[in-house]
Amino acid sequence: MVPYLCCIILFLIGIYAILTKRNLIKIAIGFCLLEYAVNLFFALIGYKKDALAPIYTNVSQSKNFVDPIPQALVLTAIVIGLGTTALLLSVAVRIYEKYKTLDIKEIKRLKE
Amino acid sequence: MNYLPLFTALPLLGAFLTPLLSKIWERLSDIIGSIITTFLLILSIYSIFLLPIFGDLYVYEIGKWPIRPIPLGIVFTFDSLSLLMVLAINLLSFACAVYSINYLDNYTARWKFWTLFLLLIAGLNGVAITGDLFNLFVFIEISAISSYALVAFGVEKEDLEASFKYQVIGEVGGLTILLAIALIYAKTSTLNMADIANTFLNENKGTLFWFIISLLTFGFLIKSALFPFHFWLPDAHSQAPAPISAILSGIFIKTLGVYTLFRLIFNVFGLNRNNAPHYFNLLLILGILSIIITSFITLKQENYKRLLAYSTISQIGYIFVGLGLSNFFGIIGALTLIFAHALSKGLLFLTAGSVEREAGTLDINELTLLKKRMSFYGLVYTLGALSLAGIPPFLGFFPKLFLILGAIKEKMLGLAIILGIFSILTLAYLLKITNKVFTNKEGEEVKENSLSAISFLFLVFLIFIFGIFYFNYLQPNLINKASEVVIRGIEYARLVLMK
Amino acid sequence: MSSFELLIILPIIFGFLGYLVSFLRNEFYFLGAILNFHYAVRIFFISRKTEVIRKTFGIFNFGVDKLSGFVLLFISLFTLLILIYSIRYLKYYEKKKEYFYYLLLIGSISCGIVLANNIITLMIFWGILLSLIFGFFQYTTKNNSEDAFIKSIFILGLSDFLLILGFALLFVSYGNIPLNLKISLNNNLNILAYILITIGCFAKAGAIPLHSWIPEISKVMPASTMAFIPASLDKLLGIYLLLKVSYYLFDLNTNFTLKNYLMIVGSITILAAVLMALIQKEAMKLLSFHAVSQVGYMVLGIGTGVPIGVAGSLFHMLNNTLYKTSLFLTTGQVEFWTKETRIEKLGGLAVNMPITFTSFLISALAISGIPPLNGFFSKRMIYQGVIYLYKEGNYLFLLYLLAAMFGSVLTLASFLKLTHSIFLGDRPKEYEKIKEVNFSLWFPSSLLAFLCILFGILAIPLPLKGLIYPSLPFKIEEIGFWQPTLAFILIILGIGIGFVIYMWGAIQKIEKREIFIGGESLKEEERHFSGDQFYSPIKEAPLLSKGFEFGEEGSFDFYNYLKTILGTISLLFKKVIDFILEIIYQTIVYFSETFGSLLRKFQSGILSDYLVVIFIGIVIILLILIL
Repeated sequence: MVPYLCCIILFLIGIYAILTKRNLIKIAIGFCLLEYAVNLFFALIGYKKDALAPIYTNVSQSKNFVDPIPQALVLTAIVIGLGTTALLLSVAVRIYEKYKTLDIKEIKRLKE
Repeated sequence: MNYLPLFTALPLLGAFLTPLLSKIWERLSDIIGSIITTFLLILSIYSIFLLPIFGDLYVYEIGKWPIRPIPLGIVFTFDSLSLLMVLAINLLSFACAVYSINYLDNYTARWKFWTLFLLLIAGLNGVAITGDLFNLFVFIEISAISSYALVAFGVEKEDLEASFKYQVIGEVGGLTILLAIALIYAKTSTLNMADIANTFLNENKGTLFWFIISLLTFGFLIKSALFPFHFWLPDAHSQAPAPISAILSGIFIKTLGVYTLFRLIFNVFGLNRNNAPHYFNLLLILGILSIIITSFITLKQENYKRLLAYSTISQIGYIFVGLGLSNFFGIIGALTLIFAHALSKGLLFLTAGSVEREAGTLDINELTLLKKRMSFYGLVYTLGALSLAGIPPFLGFFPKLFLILGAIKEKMLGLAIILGIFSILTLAYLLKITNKVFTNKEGEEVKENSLSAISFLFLVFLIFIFGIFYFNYLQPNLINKASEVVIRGIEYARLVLMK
Repeated sequence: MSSFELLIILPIIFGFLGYLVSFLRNEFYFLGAILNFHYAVRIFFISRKTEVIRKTFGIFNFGVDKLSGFVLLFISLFTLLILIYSIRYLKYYEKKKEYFYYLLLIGSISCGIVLANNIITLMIFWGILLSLIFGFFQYTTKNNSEDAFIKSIFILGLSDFLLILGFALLFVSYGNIPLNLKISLNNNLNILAYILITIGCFAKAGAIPLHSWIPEISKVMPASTMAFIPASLDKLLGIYLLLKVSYYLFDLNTNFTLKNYLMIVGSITILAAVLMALIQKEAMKLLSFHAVSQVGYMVLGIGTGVPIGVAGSLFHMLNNTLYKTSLFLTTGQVEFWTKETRIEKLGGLAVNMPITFTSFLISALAISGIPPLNGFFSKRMIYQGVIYLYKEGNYLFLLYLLAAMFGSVLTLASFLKLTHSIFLGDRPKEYEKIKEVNFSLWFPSSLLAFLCILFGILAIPLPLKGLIYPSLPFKIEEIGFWQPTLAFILIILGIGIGFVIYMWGAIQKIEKREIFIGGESLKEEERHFSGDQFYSPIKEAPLLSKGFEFGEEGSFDFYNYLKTILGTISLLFKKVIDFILEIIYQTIVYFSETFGSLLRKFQSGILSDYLVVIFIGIVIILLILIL
């Protein structure tokens, strides 16, 4: 139960960060936290207590394995997350070059 | 029909070829891009004729992992609803690709554009044909990430700002969808959509089920920019390069938001107005709010592309009204509107690109004072606007008609009147541009270049021809079959697993 | 290819050719209109011989019966005449290419509406016509006309939408039905559909309260547009559809209340519009108010439900298109040389433009209902129809009858003023060298004026037996006594006596002197007297006293008493309706302005605000769906 609780706390911290932080980099970090929380949750789903890693080497069939699919999926999700984070940060860098600020409340040329 | 993976494989291949080959000659990327989109268009038209032979459903098992008895691998399922989406995607992307060839003279780094463009198309096609939930997520992210990059393609101040906001909001949606997928996997231990549908069929629908539904709905509503999740759309769609705006507004939000919602809600979770009236009422109310509120905002817009972007939100509202009504007329209206709006809004955004190139500005008041005559664009724009506002004989008339009929069928006369009045308002704000930008001009006539003229005329031709032959061709052959898929609902699972 | 497709497609093709090929432009346009007319005549004769011909293309179903054959003939006749007129009239107009193209398209699509034989076909063609009219207005308006343009779009678009909504209601309950089922009007859904459809017809034809677009555009459109859209085409289409819906699609005689509804709208239209016309100072606007007023007679006639009244209404529609188009065209001819339509600036042009004057005078007499011209005859038939209501026990007939008769009297009054101030009276100096316009300009209006005489003198054998009676679905008994020769002789006699008196006055020697006031000689322009002041007291009086002043003018007390009340009520009604419509329009504008700006504030440009709204959104969704 504790890992799930951690997961939820991580998620809430992430939401807190993207809602209240004004710095673009901090928003990106908050965003990463959200992503990790979801990934952690996904990995936890496949976990079973006292089960083995799903690697077939000379083990009799009766052993209990953890579910391998969430792990594979989480790997994919992490890669996707890497892509989005990289893009987010690079856009943030370019914004800093153009606006000379990282404050999200200053960046409001597009409105109404 | 075992060419099905080509819909995503070809643009992916093109996306990786362009950076390599453009080192030899930069124009090669234009050629690759247009050849691949043309080929995709041919494939999707070919599929119209081939699909009925396979009984209107084709299941492709990737890597020959069998779907029976247990669906282990990823499958692509191609039915009439996917066909409609694939057709709309590839018609529009063909027109945009042809248009881009000349349009890209304004930008440096041609090949980067084409790489991202082809990735976008690959993702969209993938979303439309996949039969696997996690695969759906991957394709959504492929197209979403490339769209974030494309919005920032001009790297001006506003472009970057729009892209950043779009990314944060869009990824919140993406993560919610991923969370929902994780929960679904936890509950069903499978990722195949048909299998999920089968599992949910036998379970009672408790709190967790509705929690999953609301997470998914939330994610897809962000992707489809329905009110009140629309804030990113006017920024992103007005700042992207014109052909990208056309694709984003025309088909992107509908594939990522509306099509996926149709597929999951009706075919996977088997909801309908009888067993979940509050769900459909929620969508209906959001749709109506979207229409009303954004119409008023649109009337006040002074920027050509921003006006068009706002009008997209209200048209999405119309689609969701159809989805919320979810009777025969409503579904037909929503599906036709997806198709009609893709073509006409794409056309309008492309004219915006040409006008911007000629005038150097998109501010409507500045355009009014411009000493240039753009009668060709004016004609094309007005035809597109008439179609969008639902004036016969153009294609845009029929969805509005069916939505009104659907509202009457549900005994919601007030709704029918709202739909009609706001469609007149649509005409008012769209013709505002015609009135201010394209009429009463002195000065020299601008020269039209042939490639963009081809894409304009292609889209105008489609709007007109599909409008004229709506009841003879489009509805019986495409729309009716697609709506059958939606209305059959959970039956989808049995059909896929039987194949 | 049968003549149906050719009728619709050929003008479009030739219009397109004319649009593309610049050196044969007029010839192509002319050929398109001629071919359209040719096929219309052919279809007309076919429709006389056989009962109903139908043709189906997919969901489109076209058919021609006697009524639509008749209307078709006149639509294409008017398209042709206006085209001939416009070629000369708009010779120096810069956007004439588009103008003629749209004119042909509108003509052929209107033929499509008349030929439509089921709901979907009618709806689609009606919608196409709306968009074409928008396009046409775009190309014909003068500058600074955005208000008029938007107002007409607003009214026409809204009412056409209501019409389509009405047909959609029918579509849902009956499917794609043909237009001749005679459905009885006694359940609520049908009544609602009927009312919605009539609203669309009223706006097209221009009945109060949906008339205001016609006077509005009259300020900014050239005379040929006015003659084409509000005067001829929209009358033909609006009244045709009203008739078709009332006696073919539905059966109006099954609902007493709806008949009164039509007749009340008709009577109010007659009176209110003619009162407004009395005080106008601008010829085009005055004529356009008469165009509205005459619609009242047709609606009234259709509302009676009595065969003779309905026939009269159809005949009146035909007559009205003839003389009203002629009036607009002649005014346009005057404007062609003088560049002026304000009537106080005009005067004395009868000498310069005798042909124009003759056509104008004949049409003016016809619209005022002077025997033996056609307007008298059709109005008489409508009166007869209204009087028949007495037999059915509908005692409101008296009010309708009075409204119709007063309308006719006031029309005459208003045309006395118009004729006097344009063609008679003092001639301003700058107009002395004006010549008659050339053939292609005066020919259409003279032809129409000639038809006015012909249809008046030979009313029974020619238009009634030939065109009107066969077109209607009832048996019409012979109407009473009609002696055109006697009436004609009396009128000629009257004119002769008047002439003698005039000559007698002219023979008397008059001493001419300079005019002095307070020792100063008057300037030339201050001595110019024009007819525009004829009824100015009406305008100057406030609303209520206006009605009383009306009453004091005449000698028949009873009539005048009623006239006062009716005048006041209808003015009040008109003002109120206008006021309400204006308020609705302004409210929409105001609402969208303020509401729009308020809503735009939400798009604040700050990402955190967006995210807060979005998260509130998900909380609401969760609450709704889970609980």
